[in-house]
Order: sequence, then C-alpha cells, then structure tokens
Amino acid sequence: MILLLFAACATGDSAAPAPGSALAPLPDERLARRMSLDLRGVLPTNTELDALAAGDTTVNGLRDAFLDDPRFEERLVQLLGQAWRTQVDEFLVNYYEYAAYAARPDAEYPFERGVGEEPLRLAARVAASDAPWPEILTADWSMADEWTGPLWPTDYPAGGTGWQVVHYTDGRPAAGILATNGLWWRYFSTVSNFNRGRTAAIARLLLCEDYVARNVSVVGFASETDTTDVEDNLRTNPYCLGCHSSLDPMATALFGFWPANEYSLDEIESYHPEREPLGPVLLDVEPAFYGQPFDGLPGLASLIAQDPRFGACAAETFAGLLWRRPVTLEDRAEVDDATAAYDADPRLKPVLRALTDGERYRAGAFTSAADDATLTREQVVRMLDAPLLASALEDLTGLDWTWTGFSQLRNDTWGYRLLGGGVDGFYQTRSQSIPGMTWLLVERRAAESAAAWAADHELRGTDTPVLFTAVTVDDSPGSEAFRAQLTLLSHRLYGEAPDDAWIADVEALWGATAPSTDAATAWETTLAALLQDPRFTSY
Amino acid sequence: MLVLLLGCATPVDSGVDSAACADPAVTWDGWGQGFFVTWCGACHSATTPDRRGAPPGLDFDTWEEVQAHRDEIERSVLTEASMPVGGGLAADDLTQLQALLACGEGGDGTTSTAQLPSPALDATGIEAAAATAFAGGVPLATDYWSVYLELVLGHSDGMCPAGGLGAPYAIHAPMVGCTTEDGWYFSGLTLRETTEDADGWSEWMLGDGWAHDLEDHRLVFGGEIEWGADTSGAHPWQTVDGTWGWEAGEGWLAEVPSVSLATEADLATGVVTVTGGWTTGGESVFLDGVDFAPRADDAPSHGTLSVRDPGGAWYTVPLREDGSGCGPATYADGTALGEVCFDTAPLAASLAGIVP
Repeated sequence: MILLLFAACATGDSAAPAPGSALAPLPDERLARRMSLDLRGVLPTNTELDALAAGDTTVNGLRDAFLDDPRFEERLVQLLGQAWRTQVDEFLVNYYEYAAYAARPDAEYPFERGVGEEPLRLAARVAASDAPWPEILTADWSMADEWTGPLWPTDYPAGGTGWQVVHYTDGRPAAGILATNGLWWRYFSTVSNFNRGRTAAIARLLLCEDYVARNVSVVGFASETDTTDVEDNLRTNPYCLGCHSSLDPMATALFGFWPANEYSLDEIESYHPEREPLGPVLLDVEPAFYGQPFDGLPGLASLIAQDPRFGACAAETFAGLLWRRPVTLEDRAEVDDATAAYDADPRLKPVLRALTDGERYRAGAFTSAADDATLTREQVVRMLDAPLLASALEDLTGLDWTWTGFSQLRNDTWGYRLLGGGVDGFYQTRSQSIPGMTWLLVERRAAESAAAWAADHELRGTDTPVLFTAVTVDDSPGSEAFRAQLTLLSHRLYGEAPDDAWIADVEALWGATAPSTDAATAWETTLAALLQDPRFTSY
Repeated sequence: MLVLLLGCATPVDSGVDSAACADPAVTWDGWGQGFFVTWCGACHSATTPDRRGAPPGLDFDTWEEVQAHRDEIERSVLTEASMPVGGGLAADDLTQLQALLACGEGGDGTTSTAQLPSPALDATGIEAAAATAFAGGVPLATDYWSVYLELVLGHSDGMCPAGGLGAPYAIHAPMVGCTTEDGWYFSGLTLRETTEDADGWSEWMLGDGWAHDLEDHRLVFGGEIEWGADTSGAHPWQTVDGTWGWEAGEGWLAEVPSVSLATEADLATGVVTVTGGWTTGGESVFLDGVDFAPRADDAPSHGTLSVRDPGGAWYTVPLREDGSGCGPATYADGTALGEVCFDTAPLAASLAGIVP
C-alpha cells in the first residue's frame, strides 16, 4: 500500500520538464522541502514557503540560505556518516572499559557516537565554515565532545560540554581526518594487516577507488601462487600486486596508528610517533602515493588533497547521497559539472550547489520519455530514513525520542535505525530507498510518539505553540481557526496547499475521534495520521 | 557500441575507433589522469620508487605520454588484458579508456607535490630531544616483567585479578574492572607463555589493560613483550611492542612510553644491538641497528639514530664508527644540519644488566 502511494507521488503535479527529458522537476515548494531536508535535516518553515510563494525568494535563494543555516553542519554529519560509515554501534573496545563509564550504561550511545562522529564533524566543520575542502586532510585540529575529549590525549577543556575544536597532544601530525581516532577505531588494523585495510578505506572514502570491489581473478591467483608466504605473495604475485603495488606504499604512512594490541585502550587512543619509521621496513616498500614519493602522513594527506580524484570523489560521493542511489557512468555529465564547480572553487558548498542545480536532483516524476533503464535507475521520490525522520520530527514537534540514553532512530543496539531504513555502517551501507514493513512500523511509532509529544506540550501543557498556532482545544471543525490550522499543517508537513477535499477528510477524522476522547486527543490522533501520509514520509 | 561495451568486463574485442566516443567527451583532466594514476602510477611513473619491472621510460604521467604509447596501451589493456597486472578493471573503466584513447581530450593535468616544512630542529635541538628520550634508558621487557610480577603477586587476592600468574592467563580481570581487598583496581587481560629448553627459557606476554594503586598510579600493560634468558642469567634477546610502564616506578617505566623495540645481544662480545624506537617525555627516537657495548662503557659506534620533531619530520644521524656517538644530521628532505653528538650513557647503563 505504502509502496503504491510512493509510486503515486512520482506521477504527481510537476513543473514542466525540459523538452525530451525523461525527468520532470518537482514543483518549487516540494523542491524547497527536499532541499531543506537534505541540507538541514528539517522541513522548511511556513515563513520560508510563503516567501517562496510570494516571489520574495527563489528555490536557489532558499537553498543558499539552507547552506548557511547552522543545522547544515549537523546534517552533513549524518549525510557523510552514510558514506564514511563511522556511526557504528560497536568498536573493538567498549565504553565500559573506561573506568569513568564502567557503571554507566547510559554512556554507551553517546560514547560510540563521540568516537565515530569525530571525522564526520571535522569534515562538517570545514564545509560549514566554507573552508577549502582539502582542509579535511591538512587540519591540525579535530573535534571532540565530553564523552571522548577528556579521555583521549586532547586539549578538550576541563568541564566542557558539546562538540568542540580540539588538538591532540600525543605528537600526531596534522593530517585532518587521517589523524583522528574516530576514523581508525572504525577502520582498525590488526597487527599483521599492517594498515592495508585502512589504506583501502582511504582510497574508497577520499578517492572513490574501491580496492575491495576490484574484479580480481581468484582463479588466476590460485594458479600462480607458488608459495604460502602471504607477505611474499603480496610483493611478487601479479594477482596480489595489482592492488598491493599501490596499496602497500600508501600504508607505510599509517604506522603511527599501528597498535601492538588492537584491544588495548592505551594503544588505540594514542598516536605512536616512534613507529612511523617501521612502515617501509615491515612492508618492504618505499612510501609512495600511486608512484609519487612522500614523507610521512602529512605528505600522503597532501598528495591526496591535490589529487584530481579527490574533488571528483567529493562530487561523486555527495551525488550518491543526494540522489539516494549509486552513481553510474550515465551520470557522468552531472558529476562532471559538480567536479568542475569544485575545481573552480575547492569548497564543498559549490559542489552541493552544482548537484542541487542538476536535473537528477530536482526530478520529481518521470515523463513518457523515460525508458526502462531510467525508470530503474532514478529515484524521483526519496524516503525519510530513520535519522532524517528523527531530525525532522524533533524540529517539528520537539520530540527527542530516546530511551536510556539511546537515540531511538539513530542506533541499532537499543533502537530502530536499521529497521527504519538507515545505515548501520557495517551491514547496511546505503539508506533504504523504498519502504519496507519494518520501516512502516518504525515510521508509525515515531509519528504516534511525535504527535503525542506535540499534543502534550502544546495543547495539554503550557508550552508556547509552534505547531498548533491557529487553534485552541475549544475550536472545532468548520471554524475558520480549524481550517487555518489545517492549512498551516499542510504547508508545514507537505509543502503543499490543502484542497477542500483533504480538509474535509481531516476534519472528519478529527470529528470521529473527539466525541469519545477530547480535543487534544483528537488532534494527537489527527497529527499522527498526517505524519504517516506519504507526502510527509517522502520528499 | 557503447551499450554493448557497458556489459563487458572482459577485454574489448575491437580496436579503438570513433564509435567509442562518449558524450560528453572523456578527458585527461576529467577522468584519464585519475585512471592512469590509479591503475598504472605505482609502476609506470617517472617518480615511482619501485617500477616492479616496468620498462624504463614507459610512463603515463601525462596525456602526451599516454598518446605516445596509445597502441601499446590499447593492445595490453583493451585487447590482451595483460595489463594492469592481475586484472581488476571494471566494464565502465574499459569503456572510458576506449573513449579516451579514441577521441579523448587532453588538458593541463594536475601536478601535485608533497613538500616538507623547513626543519624545525637544528643540531642542538636534535641533541636536546634525544637527551629527553634517552633519560630513562632503553625500555626493556625484563625491567617491566619484574615490576609486573611484584605488583600483581603483591596485590592479587585470588579473585581479583583472577588467574594468578599461571599460564595462559597471567591475570584476568573483567573489562569493567575489579578491586582487590587492598584497594587496587585491575582491568583487562594478559596472556602469558613460558618456554623452556636446555639453553634457558623465554617469556611472552600479550596485554590489554591496567591497574591503579591507591594513589591512582597506573601499571599499564598494552601490547606484546617477549624476552629470552640463558642459564647464566643473560638476556640475548628482547622485544617490547606497545604501551608499558608503571607510573610510580623508576627510569623509563615511570614515563609509560609507547615502544616498538628489539634488542639482540652478542653474549661473547657484550655488544647489544638495538633496533626500534620509543616515545617518552614528548620526544620520539628511532634506533636502526645501533650497537652498544655496555661492558666497555663506550658510545655506540654503528647504526643510525633518528629523532622526530613536533611536526612529525625525522632527522637522521648515521653514527660514526669511531665510538664518538656523533654523526652528520640530515633532515627528511636531505638538508644537512651539521654534526650531532648524543649522550648515550643512560642507554648503555640500562643495557648493562642484560649482558652481565
């Protein structure tokens, strides 16, 4: 049913498509809604939508304002988290191994996010402050919050709270995200792996070169392997050299993060400068980045930052995140446009502007020109996944849905992130693009909770209304106030003006509930239903 | 043609022709440079430190070089699939490469360099940094082991930490920690193995934890240590990897340094060769095959000693063979920084015990 409703959304009223195009753009209000959700994680306000309708601003004007909104930084954390996969619920060490948290189960979720979001927040701070994107590889600072900063060798202020810029005090070099504990706790190296897996992660995250996905022949490898010595094979066997000729020389740069025991807190929370010279010795190769010699981790970071694949990878990564699908060869023109924007101005906002200017991002429906390949490839309707649902509902109603410290829509240990279509960073690496049964259950429960929260605080309690601004519990269907409230809700939730039939339906729903309960409960029920409308849960 | 190519991950069976042109055109700047760097740069680059058999001069650093070798590339990659070694190219890459070779466009390309900052230390600074790191002596497994035995045996109440010192668990505390009857706190696990033969014995220990005394001093065991002993009590070899120390201890133990180090002693000559490094007092040093003669109390006369500056660059000093403990210092970029002399007496003193 939900799937059918989603499909119906894709054929809704749209602005005129370009001649011959397979894709029709979203109407401006819905496009502004998509941009607000993608770039801020929240719905546009009615004020913003009214300004758009009145011609006081444009979609691109709103988009640019969203890029300057303080919530852009937080949204980038969530977006990049899907690509960099560091918001995981498990590391090799556990929160309770720190004496400070040994008796605090409520520390688990914030500690794990404190670890995993470190590189994401560094990158988000660079982007939100409009600094050059390569600074994510050259920064001599990082980000930490009160859950990790005081425990790790950083200058996090005593008694501080929240995410703050910090500097490590253990001698690690300036290399941006490549010098963060968060990245290397997620992408750990065993003693015998010698940082090769970490190097593959660098290539995937920053150059969009996925060694693990390479189409290497196992048959050929087996036939040419004349020794069981793994290290010997890695240096001589052509089927190994295909990857390791470039992988291993890069891995030499990471030996300051190479632990003698990957389960030891002392070993993995601190940098080990004295191990830097071990890389070339243990890997038996000279440091090089695809044939270019370098010196140390800053040298590697500098070469990555200057590499043409770095900007192209930023464009490709964010294209996939904003389009909510894998990027293919057919997308090259639009990705090239975004790459060109980066080359002209190497910051992230120009890349996001270029991508959100594109036909693929703005598509809201298919035209009759769409062939089967287009219908299969393109996502003209996006689905609110659990983390996006969380931020949208929190902004809309004030509900911060947590249980014993766990954000219910942002984790899987005690929560519903994965069931709600999110990315767990290990097993699910792309957010769900079409609704499923568990997503439906999660969405329903979240909608009910948010509606109850809003009714409790705005109608039953004394909070200043932010959602129910036009009615009181004394208003009933048919009144001007009631109609005005529904109009406001339709705008806010869906980015659309209501029609008379919809208002009549909603009034009927409210009217069917109120007699057996009270006005506040009727509004709670009504709002819960409105929040399950596919026009709310899609964008 | 393009549609057919999309389905192929295997060698393309036709030559390069205009039918493979893409719209928009595949360019060197936009795709080609990244492709050739990714798949060929490790061997076919003028700057690579290891060509792994690639013919000299057959490099693909520029669009001009690629054009000059277009036929060879076409044959080896698209037709014979003999390059890149081991295969692994995706269908999209083959499509793009064919388009680039057929009708691609060039460009300026991007030249990147990794430049080091100017040296932060001069000869005096190098000597001072080394003196700080050397003050506590060479971190030795045997130093740590004796302290560890004393403290664990002295404070274990049988239940905390569990396991006593019997192999394989030297101690075993819950990860949430446990507190002994006399108030010491233990957390983590160490594995231990003792091997004996006619010539002596060896000890090995893997650890990931710590203990706190009543004044919050930490005994840290994080990593792996191993050492051998002969029947005379000498220790011909030792390795220390990880973070080990005892904050209320003496010498290097009190600093709880990060270490990755091996020592090997020639018991006949009394020469101890040290390879590896440690970080202590905020300074990091690395010794590459440095020979000490603690019985003779001479300065080291062989090997290379390196010191790191706070920015992460290394300064290398090959020691002169005259027993002066001196040598010419060189910055990571090759800049000569003059003569440096090290006071290695604390290191030699700490090694005396392993070659009695």
